[in-house]
Amino acid sequence: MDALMPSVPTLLVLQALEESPLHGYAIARWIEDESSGVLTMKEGTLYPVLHQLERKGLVVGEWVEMGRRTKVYRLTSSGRRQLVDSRQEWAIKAPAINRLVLREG
Amino acid sequence: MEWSEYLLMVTEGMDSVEAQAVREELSGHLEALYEELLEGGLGATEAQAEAMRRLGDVGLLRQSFADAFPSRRYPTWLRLVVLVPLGFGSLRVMLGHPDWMMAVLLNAVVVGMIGLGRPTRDIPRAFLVGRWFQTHWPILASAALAGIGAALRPWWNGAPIDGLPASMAGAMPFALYLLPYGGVAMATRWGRVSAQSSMWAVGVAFTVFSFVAGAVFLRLWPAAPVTGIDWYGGYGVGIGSVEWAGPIAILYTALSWVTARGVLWLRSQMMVLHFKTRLRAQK
Repeated sequence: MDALMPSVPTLLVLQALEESPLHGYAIARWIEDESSGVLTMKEGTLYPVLHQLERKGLVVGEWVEMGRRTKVYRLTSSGRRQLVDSRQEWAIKAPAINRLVLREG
Repeated sequence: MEWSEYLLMVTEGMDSVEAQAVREELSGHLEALYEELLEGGLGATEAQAEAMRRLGDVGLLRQSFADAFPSRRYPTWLRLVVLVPLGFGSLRVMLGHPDWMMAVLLNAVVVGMIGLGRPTRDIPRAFLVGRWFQTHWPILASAALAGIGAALRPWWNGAPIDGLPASMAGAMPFALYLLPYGGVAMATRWGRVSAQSSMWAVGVAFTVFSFVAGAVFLRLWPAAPVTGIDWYGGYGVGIGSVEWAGPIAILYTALSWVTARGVLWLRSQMMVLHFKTRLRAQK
């Protein structure tokens, strides 16, 4: 599916970070809240995705003191470009997939 | 299972530096989740278990992180082929056969090519800048200084390689560096080579940069005054007469290790202690 569509976890994480930097826990909550509980990104999935994005230079993680030492992620300019591209790709392909998948015999 | 144990299992097999960062990050997540669950009415024990359950299965999570942090393990035979001659050659040099030095250096270059030549992954610049102390740069800078220092004192008169003083510039730091750093590498992580953290590669980079810096220095200033520091005096009969170059190299190695590894180890232990204390207090 990832080859056909942008990676959903990646897209959701980039989307979550678009407005402001967040830490992992806040990203997980954002996805859950914004989707009214329909999408829950398992935390175990979230962190490897975040670290992969960091390695690709799409996000940058910085340690800050917030009561406890917390790693906060923010989008880089490459990450923003990636988000725009993935969003456009999604907008084109998702309706087409919907038409195919939801078509009743 | 306690959080500390869970986190250690999740990060098992990862580079120790990355593992510590991941443990610290996940522990913050567990604590936030735990507090949320407590507020939601769960008891301390249930909340602790539920937080771990929500974070995910140990095996799956470990696999996900292994995929996110790929590393490469060289086969044992390759390690032996490279390391045995290197160790043997180094021993011969230290026992009074400096003519083996070039062979040892050559072998060291092979080790360096293995460690440095094929990065296993892309490392964003921001990642490296944030962890500058784990990169080769401070070590390479020290190596350059060591090489220049070594080049100030040519080999003793009549030595077989007296005509090639620059070629020996890297030899002494290398020999002194190899033992402690190599020992640590063997004990901790040899075989797990990543782009920025192979200790052997660091040692070899030190040697090669020392050599190059010494050679360049001699080329630019062939008649540099001898400083009076007799680094090599009596070197042919043993390592005991080396004056302060040895202690400095060993001290440098120890400091590098403490900076790059020891601090992380201490923080890891403090985190485990913190978990236990916190859980005891909440129970």
